[in-house]
Amino acid sequence: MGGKAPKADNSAIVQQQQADAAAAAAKEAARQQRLSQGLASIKQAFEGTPVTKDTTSAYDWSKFNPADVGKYIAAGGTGDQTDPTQYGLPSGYKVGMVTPSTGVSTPSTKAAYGSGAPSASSWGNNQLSYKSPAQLGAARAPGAASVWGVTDPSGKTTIPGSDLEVTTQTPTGETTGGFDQPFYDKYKQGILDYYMPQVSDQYNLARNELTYRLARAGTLDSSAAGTDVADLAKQNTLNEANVRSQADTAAGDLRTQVAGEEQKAVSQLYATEDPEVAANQATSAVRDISLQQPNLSPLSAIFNVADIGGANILKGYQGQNFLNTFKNVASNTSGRNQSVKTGNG
Amino acid sequence: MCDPTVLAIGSTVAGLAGTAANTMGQMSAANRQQDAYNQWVAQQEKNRQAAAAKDEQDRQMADAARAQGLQDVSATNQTTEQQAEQARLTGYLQGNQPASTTTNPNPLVPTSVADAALSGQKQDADSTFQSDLSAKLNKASSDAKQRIAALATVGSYGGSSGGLDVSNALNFAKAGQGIDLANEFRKGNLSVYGIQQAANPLQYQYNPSPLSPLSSTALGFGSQGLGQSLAKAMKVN
Repeated sequence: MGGKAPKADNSAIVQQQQADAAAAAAKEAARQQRLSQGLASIKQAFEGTPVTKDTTSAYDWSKFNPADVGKYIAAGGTGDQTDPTQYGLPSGYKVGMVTPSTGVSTPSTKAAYGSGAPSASSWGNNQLSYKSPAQLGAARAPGAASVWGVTDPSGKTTIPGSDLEVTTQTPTGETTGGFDQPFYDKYKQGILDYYMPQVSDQYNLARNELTYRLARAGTLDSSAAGTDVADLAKQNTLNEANVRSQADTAAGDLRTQVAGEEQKAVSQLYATEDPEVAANQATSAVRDISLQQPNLSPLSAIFNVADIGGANILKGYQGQNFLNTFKNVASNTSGRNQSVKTGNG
Repeated sequence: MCDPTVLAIGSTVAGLAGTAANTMGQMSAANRQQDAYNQWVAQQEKNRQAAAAKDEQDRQMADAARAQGLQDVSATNQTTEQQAEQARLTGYLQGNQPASTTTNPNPLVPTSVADAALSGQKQDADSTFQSDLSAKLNKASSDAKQRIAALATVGSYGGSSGGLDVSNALNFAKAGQGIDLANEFRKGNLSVYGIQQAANPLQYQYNPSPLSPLSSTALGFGSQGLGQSLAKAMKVN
């Protein structure tokens, strides 16, 4: 008359809930991976690919702590304990349990091995070159259990403490592709090539006009002419600088626009969470920016010669007027036997 | 006919056995339920710790981006950037750097044939006139350079290609990208945690046998019969 053994009546629901939670976690991890890839793709499209060079250096074994990673995983963290990059090793290297034996690179430092030293036969000729277990950290002695070690791309295995030359790719600070400095320089140069000939043409016209006006005023070889020429040259220098400044500002605007387009691509990435769509958006944005043209309009008159010539003409006119007046006065006073010679005799 | 006492004893034993079985079944269900709750609590605690760790990691990621952005736009950094940009602009505006070439590279040398006489290029030009013109051209060049330097200073604070307007906007955009990415991660991780929190514990329930009411009836009947038998045995004639 006793009942049936106790049984969970919602086990199917709970299993489904747990499966959903696991699926959501996996999906989120994949989404974050896609976001990282998408951002890298956008960064590459806009900022270019960093140029790297091979750098060979001795590996710092203090970074090699697979035991700590094991604790991290045991605590619920995720990660691959054999991932070489988390130890500062290039991706071509392999991390795993190895059994020290013939062919395994040994530590180069001679040190007392302690009470756990294996028999000499298991060490071969390298018995004095090993460090103690404490010095080796997670590694153990050859002949004992397998230890964590590193295998380089050529297949050579090394255990902690021994000499390991690591070739890494280090950025040179330069990039290829993307919107680099030559891109902006070319944009600026295009603006300069459009405006500078106009500046030059107008300068030449102004110089000619100045010459003619000075000649008409009869002051071509005067000190005032030198002043006017110098003033015009100064205007030319400042006008050219102004054009360069505007070209540089336009390049700054373009740089800001490029950053805005990059931000749009990032926003689209977040909206779609799909790196491929983001890459297409980035490619489209890149195309749009590449087609961007400056709003070039002809320069208005930028040289002021009217004042220069006008003033000299006026000066000439006033000078001649004064001379005529003076001649009249002189002729009226001829009874005092004073004469004034003019240029015209 | 059976002895009523025997029947009463048998009924009582059967009733006690049934009741005991029910009680044990209920206790077993309670124990399993307790285990299920414990496991659920442990799992929830593990999820909570993992979510808190991820959230902290993402927060640190965002904070690192924010701190880097703050450093990039700090007064010290901006001063350094402004000075470098001012130096670059000063050379650039005078045509001394890439992308500043002109079709008239030396504006102080007249290119007009008509005004050659004004520049001292005329062979029979007066030496006094030439030296006077040269001095004035030098003065004009010097004045122009001073004004260009001032223009470079102003531009370096503003919207030149490397000016503070541009560089600060880029620095803030860069920091914003790092913060946005971290926030995206936080949002996703919190969503996952919410789903994990929604998972229920297993619910154990003891289902007694359909015959279990008979055990109480039998126990009642048996105990009543035993009582009567006991009463008869103690009857005084």
